[in-house]
Parts: sequence; C-alpha cells; structure tokens
Amino acid sequence: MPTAAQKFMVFDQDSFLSICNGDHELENNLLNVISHSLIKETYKLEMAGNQRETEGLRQQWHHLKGTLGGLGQLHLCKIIDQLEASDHAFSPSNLLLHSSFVNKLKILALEMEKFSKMKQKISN
Amino acid sequence: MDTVSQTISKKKIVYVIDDSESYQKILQAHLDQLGFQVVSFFSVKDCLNSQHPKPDVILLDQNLGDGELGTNHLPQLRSRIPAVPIVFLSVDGNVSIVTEAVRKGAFDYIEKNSAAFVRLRTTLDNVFNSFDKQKRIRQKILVVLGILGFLALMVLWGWYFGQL
Repeated sequence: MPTAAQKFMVFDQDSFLSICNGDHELENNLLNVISHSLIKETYKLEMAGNQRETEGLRQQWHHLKGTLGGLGQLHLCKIIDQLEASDHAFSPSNLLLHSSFVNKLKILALEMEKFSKMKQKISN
Repeated sequence: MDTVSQTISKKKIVYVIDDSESYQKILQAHLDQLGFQVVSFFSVKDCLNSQHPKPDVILLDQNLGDGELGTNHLPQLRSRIPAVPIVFLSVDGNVSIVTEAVRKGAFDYIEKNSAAFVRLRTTLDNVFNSFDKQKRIRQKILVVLGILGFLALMVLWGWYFGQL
C-alpha cells in the first residue's frame, strides 16, 4: 500500500533515471534544466490563462506537452489532450481542468527542484 | 567504437529547430552529453538566416508556433541546406504527419515522449552510419571510375600508336 506521501508523489525518480539511460550526470543536468523551465512555463501558462489569450494558452499547452512527454508524465499529457480537444479554451469546464493542471504542474516542478537540490547536495 | 562515440571526437553539429525553449534546452542537455555541438533556433527562418557552419544533422519540430508547420518547411530546408539529414520531431505520433514528413524527405521521425531520447541516440547512430556507408560507396564508385578511365586511356593510346 502506498503511503500518503507516495500517493501525492508525481515525479518518479526511477523512471526519470531510465529516461536518462541510467546516466547520473545527464540526470542532474536535465533535472536542473527542466525544473527551471517548468517553473517558467507554468508562469507563462498562468499568465496566458489570466489574460484570456486563447492562442497563447494553446501554444503553452503544446510546448508543455513536448516537455512532459519527454519526462514520461503521460497523465499530464492526457490532461493537455483534453484541454486541446475543447473548442473553447475558456469554457467553464476547461478553466477548471486548466487550474487543476496548473496546480499539478507546480507540484511537479517543486518536486523536481527539491530532488535536483538534494542531488546537488549529495554530489557536493 | 560506436558511431555516437566516434562523433564525440569530431564534434558534429546538430541544428535544433523548435519554438519551445524548454524542449530546446532538454535536447541540448542530451546532445551535449553525446558530444555534439548544438545550435538552436526558434524558427526555420532564423535557421536559414544563420551564419553558423553547416550542420551534420537537423532536428525539426512539427509545430513551430503561429500556425507554422515543420512539414511545410521541409522542402525549403532540403534545398537550402542540401545533403543534410533532417530528423522530424512531433508531440503527436500522427501517421499522416509522419508519412508526409518522410515523403518530403525526412530521414526519420521521433515522437516527443519518454522514449524520445533513447530513440534520438539510435536515430543519430543510424544517420551517421547511413551517411558513412553512402560516403564509402561514393568513394568506391570514384575509384572504379578512375580505373575505368585509365584503362580507356590506355586502350586509346594503344590504338592510336597501332595506327601509326
């Protein structure tokens, strides 16, 4: 049975290492790059959502789909598919899904950042 | 030594054309690790206007933002930067997009998923293996043509002096 903490864990360290071909140096570099990018992309996504920019929002979803796909975050990619499939980017149901997606992204970015810092401490 | 290892000593140049800064950085980290020199662009226009040395391979994204599609730029890229293999990238594994890309001359196709980076390594291996093979074949053809030319000259020379 997973513990409560494991249930909320969205970043799978083992599968991330396998994405990096088991290369720890690459893992460290990528963790650093992706956690920073994710924070930046999430901010842009929030801005596009707040400013009701349909094109900007769709572009951000698409960018994130590539990044998250590369991270093996398929459940988040499926949410983007759902968001993209809607004709109205700002429909009430899409807005609700969008805000839950943004929250999940923030958790993922924070977990990655935390893991990246932990790895840096260990290597130092 | 495998092909990827061989490239490390030569520092082959990879152009990345993708409008996502994050994905550019992710690719850069992977390709740096493999020993490639990476030059990133946000659009095909930027790439074509660049003064960088000619690349050994181009990684081209399908969705380039503002409604621009990589598949539409493939013929132009192939004519402006000839004899350079283009590997296509897309988040959707859509068969029609893949078919169109290959039909327009893409060397291979990589879907942006968790297997993308393993595929990238294999694809780059294939690119350089295939190009090395083509280069060797071209060299052999040149040697054979040279020998045939020399023999033809000898025959002509013999025939000319036989006439005298």
